[in-house]
Amino acid sequence: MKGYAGKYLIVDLSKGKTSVGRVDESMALNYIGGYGFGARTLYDMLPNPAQVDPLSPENVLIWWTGPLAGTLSSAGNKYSVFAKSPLTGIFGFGISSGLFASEFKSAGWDGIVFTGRAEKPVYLMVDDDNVELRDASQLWGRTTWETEEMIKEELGDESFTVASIGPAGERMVKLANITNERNRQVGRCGLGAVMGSKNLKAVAIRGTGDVEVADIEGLVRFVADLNERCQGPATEKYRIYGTPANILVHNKLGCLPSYNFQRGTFEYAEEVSGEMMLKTHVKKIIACAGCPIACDHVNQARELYSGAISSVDYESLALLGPNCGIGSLDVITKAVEICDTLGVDTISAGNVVGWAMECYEKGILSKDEADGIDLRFGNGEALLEALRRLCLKEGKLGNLLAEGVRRASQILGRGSERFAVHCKGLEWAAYELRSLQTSTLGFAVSNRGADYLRSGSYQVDVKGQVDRLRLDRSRGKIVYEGENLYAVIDSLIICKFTRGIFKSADELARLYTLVTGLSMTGEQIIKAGERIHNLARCFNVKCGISRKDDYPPPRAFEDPLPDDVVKGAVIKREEYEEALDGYYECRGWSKDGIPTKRKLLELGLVKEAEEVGVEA
Amino acid sequence: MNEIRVEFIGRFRELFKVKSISFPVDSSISLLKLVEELGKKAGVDLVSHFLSPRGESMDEYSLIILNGNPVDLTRLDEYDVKPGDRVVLSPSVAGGG
Repeated sequence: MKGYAGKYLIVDLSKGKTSVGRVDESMALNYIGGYGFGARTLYDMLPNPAQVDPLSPENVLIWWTGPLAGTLSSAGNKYSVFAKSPLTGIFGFGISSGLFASEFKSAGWDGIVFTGRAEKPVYLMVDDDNVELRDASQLWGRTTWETEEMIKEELGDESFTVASIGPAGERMVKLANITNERNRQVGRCGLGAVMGSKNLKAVAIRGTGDVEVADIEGLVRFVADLNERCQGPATEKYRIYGTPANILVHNKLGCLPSYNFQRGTFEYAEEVSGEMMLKTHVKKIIACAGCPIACDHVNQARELYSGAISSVDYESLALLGPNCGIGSLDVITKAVEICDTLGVDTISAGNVVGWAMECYEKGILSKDEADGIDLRFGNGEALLEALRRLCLKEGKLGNLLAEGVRRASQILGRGSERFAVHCKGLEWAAYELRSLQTSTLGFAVSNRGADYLRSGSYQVDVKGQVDRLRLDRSRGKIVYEGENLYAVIDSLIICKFTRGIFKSADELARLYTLVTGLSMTGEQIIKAGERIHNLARCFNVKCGISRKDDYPPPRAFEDPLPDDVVKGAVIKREEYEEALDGYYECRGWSKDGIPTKRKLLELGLVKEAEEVGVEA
Repeated sequence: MNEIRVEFIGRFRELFKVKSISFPVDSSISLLKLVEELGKKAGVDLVSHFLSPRGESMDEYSLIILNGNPVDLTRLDEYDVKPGDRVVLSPSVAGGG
């Protein structure tokens, strides 16, 4: 089979030894790559995940590319990382892009599996088949940007791409991420903390080989057509304003979270809009390798924090801006820079600081517990200092926030759990809970926790295709179909910004076949997506997940929105239960959210049917 | 107040060169008619931003929000817009990378 390298690297950090594993055709056809390979290997390598401390040497850290990485496929240069998450205690998963995945595949590897823990800080150098664990003592304590520069200098070649953790990952902050090429992150689930727990500072890769594809002429023609479509209307929004274009439209729809999700509009939305950002702060628009869209908008602060540079997308902008009451692009640019260089996820960070601000304003978090910081909404200096402390686990406040919003609210108590906005321990992204109710169902049933990237179910809400302020049984099917499709997209792995240019699942299957030479239909590839989703759910069931965990936070049910356009919007419990039942029914799961033996056997998940499946 | 408030976001703001306008009307008109009239004002085929030549929804590209609610673009002629209403023309939501 083409497209795949056919092998992956196994690195035993405890012993300092490496070995090679094989990717066979059955693995390729059943699990595609990326998300699918991650689900398969995580399930197999952690047979009793409930017993595994995510920050212990017993956890594994798994990196996979997809079959498209390193080929000329449009927007296909992405890689994924998996582990049991220290933030959520369940299936942990993140995807990043840039050049890293292309180098990875060109070096001749589909993936890397890390086990154990190194005695002292190390980084992994992969130079085609030459693989070496190198001393990283001099890198420990350095920011992600410094680490990247220092490794390139040490290896004497700028063409190495580097993925690293910052001081937050070293300190095992539960929100820690992994950064490659300065501005691209494996953001969610605290996988940077797993890297830190293994004393693994970075992975540096250079590849000089070719990635063979099955039908080069067919692929060139197909990709030329896709690239032309990528210049069309479906992706215009990404090319011009980038995802920050969402600020104003979400504000008009009352679904822009502000003040820790207390509201769905923000009075300074214009000041932090994509339109304003493009006019005043964007210095550069860049693309990942092989991407015809180019969505990444790099900002430079103008007056405050002059010189601060960061790549600002909608999620970072909304969570560190409106959700913390911040109406200054300079402050937001600096806040993202702090998160990126010290190494934490901007979504989770903006969410947990917003929660702390609400606690502070309500007198639940004292000034002493806030390390003397005046943690009011809208106080930019307070936001930046809170973020710095969070990343470095400094003081009472830093240590509290470093746990993530679920655990922090449990530690603080005093009723603060009621407005900790998360699901399964993962902080909610910047889609309001009550004014996009299909989206909320999609977030809440996701395998990763509150996840905006697993079903795209917000689309029917914002397009007016459903009553977004109500729920019913039919929404379950929308989420189910979206999840299966997105599991395919995340396994191939292609950028979701291209989803609008594929006319059908048949086209995704055709792309797969042109690259790999393996026969695949649209129906088969969607079935693979369903298999992958179920496998990850089986892992979660082993971690104790069931229906009780598939709910949005209390605020969604108990605090009606005050904003004009969506005044009084709240999720009705009985409607949510009905929608959840509808979702489980489509999935072929029990009423308690457990995959049935019958469904698992239908998907070829025989071992899982025996270990996890319940009778229908 | 015989006016409809029309706000522009993103590319529509560039097209009309303003953030919003007041569109005078005597009585209610269809949303489709409003879009056609706005297009004439800007000298562009504005309907083509929302509907394909075959009448299919272009909601991957653009949205219309009427009094805070997104509308079904295939039914633009079925929505009545009356004085005092607020209409927003916007690019569609861009999420999920």
